[in-house]
Amino acid sequence: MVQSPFLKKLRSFSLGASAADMAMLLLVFFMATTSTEPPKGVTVELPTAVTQGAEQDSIYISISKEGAIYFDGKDSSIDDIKDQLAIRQNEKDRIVSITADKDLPYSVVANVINILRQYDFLNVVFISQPREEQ
Amino acid sequence: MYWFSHKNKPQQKQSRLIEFDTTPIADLSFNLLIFFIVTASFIIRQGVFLSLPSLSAGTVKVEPSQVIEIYPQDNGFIADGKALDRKALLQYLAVRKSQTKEAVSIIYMKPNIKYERLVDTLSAIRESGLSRISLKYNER
Repeated sequence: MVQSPFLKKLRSFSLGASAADMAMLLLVFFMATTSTEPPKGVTVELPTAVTQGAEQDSIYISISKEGAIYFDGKDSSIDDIKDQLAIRQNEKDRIVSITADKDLPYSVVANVINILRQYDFLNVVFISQPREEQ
Repeated sequence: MYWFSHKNKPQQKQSRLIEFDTTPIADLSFNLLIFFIVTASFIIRQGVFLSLPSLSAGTVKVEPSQVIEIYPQDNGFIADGKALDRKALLQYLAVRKSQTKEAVSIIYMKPNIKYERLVDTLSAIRESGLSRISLKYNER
């Protein structure tokens, strides 16, 4: 088969390098933007509210329906939470995400809020499920 | 002249094109990429924000007319001495907001009230566009 002078000038080239670049870029993008699953500790039934997106980089406090408290996914007593907050005094600007069961008596949450105030962790978000517009 | 200047220099070898096979890197990257896409969680956590007052914060003076007192109940709200449902509370807050400049909403919580009532009240206040919120806890 006779090739035209134009086709002779064309060289075969590999897409390997550009594919690797593209894959690496996508990989870095996904690693940078995806959020890691926050520590759960306990599964709760969330209250509903008109919500805003909560920051992923939070301190997580979960409270079960029975009143068991989990600090960053670990079962903790009130004293443990106090210790943790005392250790983390340099993280006071971080948001504290409170994930509590909707049927929990407020007294339990009030206790946690009081401790947060004592240790100057003042930015709180009450994790809830988005309310459907009526 | 050219010969004179180049006569003592060794003849340069023709440079060889060294190729680096990038195919395994591309394969590895795509495998990692697929792994991340599959395992990553795209759940965006949502909630209601509240800035707590510092224990060392001073008191703020407000006019009585600026204050909106809300008492969440298990089946609704009490505001202005009346039992209200959510819709009525939203209407009441909208009226108060239009009447009062920089109104302050005070939520009075009791120990036995369900936590969801606090979140719902906060949500209703935010929905009506009020931003100054105070949370009071009556242990009795």
